[in-house]
Amino acid sequence: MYQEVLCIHPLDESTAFLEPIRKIFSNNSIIEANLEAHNAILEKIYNFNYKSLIIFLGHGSKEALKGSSTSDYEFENYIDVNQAKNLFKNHDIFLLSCNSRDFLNAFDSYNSSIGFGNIISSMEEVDIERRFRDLNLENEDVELFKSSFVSAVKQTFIQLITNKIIFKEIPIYLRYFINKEINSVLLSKDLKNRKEIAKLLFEFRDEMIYRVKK
Amino acid sequence: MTKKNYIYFLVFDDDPAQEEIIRKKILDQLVEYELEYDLINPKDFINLETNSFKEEDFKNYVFDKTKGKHISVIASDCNLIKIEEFIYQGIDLISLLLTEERKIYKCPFILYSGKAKDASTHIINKIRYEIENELEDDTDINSIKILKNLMEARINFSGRLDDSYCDQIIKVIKSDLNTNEIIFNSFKKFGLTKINIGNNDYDGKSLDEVLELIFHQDVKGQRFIKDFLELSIAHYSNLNS
Repeated sequence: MYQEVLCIHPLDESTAFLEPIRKIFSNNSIIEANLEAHNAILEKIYNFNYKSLIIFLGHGSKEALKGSSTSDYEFENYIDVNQAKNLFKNHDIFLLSCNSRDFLNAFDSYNSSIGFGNIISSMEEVDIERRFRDLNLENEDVELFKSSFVSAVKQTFIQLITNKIIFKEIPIYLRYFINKEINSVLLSKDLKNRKEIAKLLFEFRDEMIYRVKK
Repeated sequence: MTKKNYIYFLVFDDDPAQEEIIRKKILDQLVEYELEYDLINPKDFINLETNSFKEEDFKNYVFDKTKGKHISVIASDCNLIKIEEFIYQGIDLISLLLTEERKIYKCPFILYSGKAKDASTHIINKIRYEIENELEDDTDINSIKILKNLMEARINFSGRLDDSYCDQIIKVIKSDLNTNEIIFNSFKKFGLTKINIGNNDYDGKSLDEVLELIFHQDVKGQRFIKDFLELSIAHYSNLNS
């Protein structure tokens, strides 16, 4: 089905929580905090001659996927739309990063793609969101939200790499596993903000998009 | 609540006489329901210059006609268009609709035809064409799109003689209604309970109020049923690992 299945994860303490997803792929890379490492990955992908599956775990925006970020290195616009247009041509791509659905709106050279809306992953982001709407969340709640969707994504990809499902079915099964997490959260009566956490999971689930090349 | 159940269905046929047949054999048979349908003539979408089918126009037309509507069933004459080498059949329309990204047509389909041999020859040729021209060597059966469409879509085959496809349509509509009745009755029973799960669309509403949304074809009501069922499925089932 695929020539390669590659999972890339730029080094960034704030996205370390995504590691359980990266670890299930035999071909996975943490992109170290230097330019060579970033370029090496691009070169690797450009050498995929046939349809491959690329999973990106990290920060992003509607303009670009972000590279590594440490105290003395930062690569804000690692893969921008123009780079992406060529890099991901004819491949299946899964972009687990903020607003990747908008990023994916800007080009359509991929074979098919999955992206997401705004994913809140820190209290700083909660504070920013609070400017627009009521959000009753504390740090433990955000942590639970993060580990919940990580678990759902991980379980979905296990189905994929054991050939139980194909790429097109990822949205359905990811929805299924997120629903399990929603149920689990709502049934935890001791969790004070369980409805708020469930709301984040509903949004994560409902803002996911799947696009296919025409 | 004694509102009539609203039912909408779609028929693809180039024979305008079907309008009368549908009225007599379906609408008049189900007067206790509020029935609405559209009879679409696929021949309106032929590009005579290139002898091809205007697929995007057809998709857009159907999408606009059915926007916001729950479709109970889509029925199509099997044999629709045959101009020399240009053949376009009911199965092609179904395959086409299943590629629609703005809406998922997951209602049952009925393909009716008096000429079963033509219909099946066409399907076999389509599959053969796809295998020979569009697949790489090592692909698994899931990639054979038309087979996957056929296997996933609920397609019922029916003869044209005695207008039996009308009976099929009624059968499908009635089974749809039975499912609806189960849902409505359950909600009515527990009508005073309130929903509270972190979804603004319906949080704070009682099941009676959600039922009102559904009767008014409000998409929020439908979204609730979908979410509710899917959460239950996720709660009570497991994938074999």
